[in-house]
Amino acid sequence: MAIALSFTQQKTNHELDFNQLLENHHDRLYWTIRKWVVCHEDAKDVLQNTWIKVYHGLPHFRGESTLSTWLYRIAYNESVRFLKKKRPYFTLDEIDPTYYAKLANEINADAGEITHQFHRALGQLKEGERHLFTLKYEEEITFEEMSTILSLNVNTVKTVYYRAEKKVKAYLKQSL
Amino acid sequence: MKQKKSISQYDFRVPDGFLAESKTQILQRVSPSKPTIHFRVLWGVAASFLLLIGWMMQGSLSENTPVLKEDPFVTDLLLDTLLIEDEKLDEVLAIALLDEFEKQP
Repeated sequence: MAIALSFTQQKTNHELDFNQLLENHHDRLYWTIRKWVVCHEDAKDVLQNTWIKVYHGLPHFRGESTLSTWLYRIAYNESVRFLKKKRPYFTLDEIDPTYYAKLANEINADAGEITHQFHRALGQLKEGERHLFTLKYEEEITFEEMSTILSLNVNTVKTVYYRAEKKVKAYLKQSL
Repeated sequence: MKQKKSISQYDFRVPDGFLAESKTQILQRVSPSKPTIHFRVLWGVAASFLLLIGWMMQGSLSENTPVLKEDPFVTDLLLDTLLIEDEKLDEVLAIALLDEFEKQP
């Protein structure tokens, strides 16, 4: 009886934790995934898969990183897995030639020239650079957290980020 | 992590009400669903139940059936008739019946 009660209690706590996590991180996670996979429908699928994995993984979360870092790591893995499934030739070391073309139906009609130029600048980045740049630039995640999310060395993360930032700035400076 | 409100969100288009709807859908997907019993399972349960009833009835029948006493005359007759040919069967039966008749008081 005591065991059954404890199990129910644990289950309820797990559901409460999950609901809290969903409430706090859902929107932000959607936008991060959206910037990686670009298309809304794709982001929707990746987002759902991510949350289902989070739900099942939450009772086993060991607290080796912060909960939000763990969450972003799952989201990133899901996004990369999705992109690989969709594009068998997908590699993080190459530029995605379809990046800007994909945006045609994804950007608001009233988006200004600066937005278009910004996306063109992102399109000049290699896939891995773009993912990393997006994570740091928009989400303000620390380099240490990024190294955990992306499974990369902190120095590598810094190098790639500054290189990407330099490329984006140079493109915008030239085009605007 | 600091929470930064992005104004543009890269100017990506998103359907109205999607974010709230998505949260509801995710909660529905992860909430424990009622267990569904498949027909195969039902058939299995029914078959097991029938076997159990059959076994219980068999047990009660063997308890209620009276034990038959062996009749040595019938046993001998049956053993004898198994060893002889058809044409001698009538003769053996006649002798056996006659002997039995004579033994009776």
